[in-house]
Amino acid sequence: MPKENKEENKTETTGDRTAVPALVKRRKIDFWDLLQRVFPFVGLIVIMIIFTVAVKDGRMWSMYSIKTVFSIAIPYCVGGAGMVFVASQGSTDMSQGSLLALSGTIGAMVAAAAGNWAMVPVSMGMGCLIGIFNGVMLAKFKVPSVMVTLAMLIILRAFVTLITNGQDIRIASSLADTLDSTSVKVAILIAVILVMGYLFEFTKCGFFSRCIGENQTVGQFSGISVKKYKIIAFAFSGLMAGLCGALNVAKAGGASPQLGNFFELEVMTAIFVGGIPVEGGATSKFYKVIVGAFMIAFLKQGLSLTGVESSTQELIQGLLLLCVVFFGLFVKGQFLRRQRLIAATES
Amino acid sequence: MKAMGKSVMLVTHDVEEMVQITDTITVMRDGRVVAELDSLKTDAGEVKRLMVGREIKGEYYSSDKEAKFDDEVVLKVEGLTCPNFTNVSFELHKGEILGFCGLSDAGIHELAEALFCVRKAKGDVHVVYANESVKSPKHAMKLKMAYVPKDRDKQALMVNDSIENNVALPTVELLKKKAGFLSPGTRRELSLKILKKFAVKTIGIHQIISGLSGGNRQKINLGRWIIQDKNVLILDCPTRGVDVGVKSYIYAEMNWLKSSGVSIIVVSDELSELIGMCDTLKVMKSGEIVKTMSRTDGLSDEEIIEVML
Repeated sequence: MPKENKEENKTETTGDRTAVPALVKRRKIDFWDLLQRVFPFVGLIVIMIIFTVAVKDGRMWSMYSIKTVFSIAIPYCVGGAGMVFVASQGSTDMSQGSLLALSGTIGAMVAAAAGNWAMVPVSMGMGCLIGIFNGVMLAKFKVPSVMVTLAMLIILRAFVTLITNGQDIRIASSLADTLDSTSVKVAILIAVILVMGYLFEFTKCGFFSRCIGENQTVGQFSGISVKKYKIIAFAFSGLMAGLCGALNVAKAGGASPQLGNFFELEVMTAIFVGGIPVEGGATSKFYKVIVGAFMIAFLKQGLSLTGVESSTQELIQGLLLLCVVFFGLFVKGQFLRRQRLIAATES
Repeated sequence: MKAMGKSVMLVTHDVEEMVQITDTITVMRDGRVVAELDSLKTDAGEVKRLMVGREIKGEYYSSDKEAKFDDEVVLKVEGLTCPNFTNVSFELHKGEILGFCGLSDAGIHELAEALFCVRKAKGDVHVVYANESVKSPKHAMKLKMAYVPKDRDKQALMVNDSIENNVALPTVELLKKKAGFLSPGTRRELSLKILKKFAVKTIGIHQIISGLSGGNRQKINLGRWIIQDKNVLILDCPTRGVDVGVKSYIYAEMNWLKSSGVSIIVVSDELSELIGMCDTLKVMKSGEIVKTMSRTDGLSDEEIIEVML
């Protein structure tokens, strides 16, 4: 039967050129579906336009300003690229900030002892290990991911203070300069987008993660080993947090106990603003992470250029997030309702 | 209720039961009322014909009078035990349709889950042709087993996701290419193939499952397993909540699979369907197999119900 199946497949694909587009074309472009897909872009463009007008003398688009936008957005993109796996499963990783600090600190210590090359691999490896530990605990004890990772947030932060004795750890300035240079950061960004984007959109890792977010029982009944993919998701999240750790340490010129405070919340804001649903599932898309990260970055840069106080900045970010989450839920509800309606009228 | 002077409106797929207990029957098809009948003057056949809009042939079920299957054993279950059933052992042969029936607490649904390792159980489910015992659902799929669970909307399909993604879920291994690449093109092809092969009424592969009728959902649910090359099919209530047309379609599909050498385990609440389809029928009562009947000896409701209770 397998051979027969394959042959059937071949003949069908060659013989059916006319039938295939017919069924695909019949897909009506649904307003709510379209909205769900493009609204992150609309948000990004609106923010860009607002600040292009509001910031005087075209300073919004000066080289310096764009560099700043990128330097804000890159950690969000990198962290979000890992967290999107966790978020699409409907879980939350609260420990990313502390994880970033710990892996960054250890990376810096190893780099000081063993040479500059060790910084990035050690940070990433450390992040990945702690991520796996997170995942294993979750899979083993079946507690909500918020609880486990919240505990890890506190524990890991305590570790950082213990290791460093509350002192800063400096790294070699040559290392800091290389890692913090724009070209290296952009290269890292592109590599992360390509690799993680591929894993999330075109392999089982991402597909199964979205399925788990959609319905965990269905996943289990269809032969997904849910535990394994939960562990993988947290491992990715940790890996990317480790990379962010290396970048952040390089930016600051050294590791301090306060490194990456509230980083996890900022990354979450970015991916949710980008339109990743809080409950995970099929509408989680990788591009939304990137769009969300740049939305927040442009917003931050724009607000600081217009001279808005930092507390007001945070207020605006919070309100934006609230609006986006409500809007997202509303659009999703409308979309599902419309789908049922269409089906009813069609048949 | 009727004796108390109250009116009852019954909405059901179960035609035989309806003809027996109702006074008048209103038949609807495609959102329109097609007939109003007097229950005493009509029979199940007429109602079915009106529901589908065409004659359903006499051999709605399998027309075989005798059990017909190879002697080759494909699945050997030994001493399977979990809280819901104890010490279940049986053999499944190539091309056999093996039915399990019992009351709701008999453990038949749990048995189906345990066979696919979705539920933990002690004992051994041995796949003879591969000479391996099933360890996990994934392993079972690798050993060419398929499982269609009882609760379509909670256990089988992601209702808020597209047909395409739902089709891809159990067929991932089939779709996977180099470096784990799941090409959108191949996925679309497979979905379209299923839509065509099973004549699913839908607006396209991006349709969300919750917009489909029960019958069409079940066609996709079954289709995505049948289209793969599987040797053992475990069906838990395959015709639950689907209309007569789709039912006969599913039975035809089962017969076709049987003739091509696939072994099927059917677990069902509906006795008539088991009697109509199975080569061998095992009756379970409070977690144990109490009686095994063969099609050759003739299967009858009374006998089975007597054992079940």
